[in-house]
Amino acid sequence: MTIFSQLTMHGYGAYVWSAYAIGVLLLFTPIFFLKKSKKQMIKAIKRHFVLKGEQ
Amino acid sequence: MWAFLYRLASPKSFYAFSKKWQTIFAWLFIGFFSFAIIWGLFIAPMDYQQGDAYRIIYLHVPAAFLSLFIYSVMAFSAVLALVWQIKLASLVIEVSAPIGAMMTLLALFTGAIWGKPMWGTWWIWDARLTSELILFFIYVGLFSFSMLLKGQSSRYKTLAVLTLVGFIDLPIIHYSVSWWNTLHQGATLSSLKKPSIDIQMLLPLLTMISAFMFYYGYLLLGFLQQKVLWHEKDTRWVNKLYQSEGKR
Repeated sequence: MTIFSQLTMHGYGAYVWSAYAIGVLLLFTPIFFLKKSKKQMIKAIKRHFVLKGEQ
Repeated sequence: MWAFLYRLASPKSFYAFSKKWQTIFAWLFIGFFSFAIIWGLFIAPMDYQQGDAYRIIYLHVPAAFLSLFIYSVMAFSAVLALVWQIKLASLVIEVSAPIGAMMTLLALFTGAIWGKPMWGTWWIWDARLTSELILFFIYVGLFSFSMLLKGQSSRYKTLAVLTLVGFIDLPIIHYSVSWWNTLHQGATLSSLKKPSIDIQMLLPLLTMISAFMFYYGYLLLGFLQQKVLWHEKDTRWVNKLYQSEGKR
């Protein structure tokens, strides 16, 4: 079995690799949202404390 | 065990617990996922009928398994939220719905890509596929509902009730391949029977399912931490935490 035939998945490469590309994309999108919302949450809580302090 | 769960229901203890476990889950996910992807794509033997196309199983089955598992967690949390009024359980439902929707979408996408070379079609209104699509709509519905009623205190109770109503779809998905004559194959893994898949293909599959479970644990704890912090923002422990983080 050559590396090329292994990489092309013996003719099924387009299906297998596109499934894995979609899979990785879908799996890593929520991680991106988690990091983004964490930053927003820290900002919102800080703002909340500042407003509370002003009162 | 009960004492541990009771302690975990307190937001402050949960926050400390989740901080530690989120990191552990992240590393476990990275390790198991990298290992399973190489094992499944290059080391596991080729299928005698489906050739290399079967390798989509290493994404499709874990995603489909998680889509059902996450909903089971949500239904269990709905019972906890309705019977014992545990606030954290309501937050688990709210946070899990988009993750479950994403898993169901992944199962549907990978299933369609696998279906084309094997069945000759991307989609068919088969009992298994249709009931899984309904699960996706249930997840989206629950998520949209929680977004629409943001800020209303009654939303958690309604969300829990709706989650329990949607639970009816789970046994339908599970038994659809037995109850109806479907194009979709029967269960590969069963808790009662010997698996119909060879051990060399089964081991990377189980590794990938574990990786997906750690991934769910990582996301669940991450999003829950933020929800807990926001809900508890007027308490002394969050104030203290903010001050200690502010100094850094």
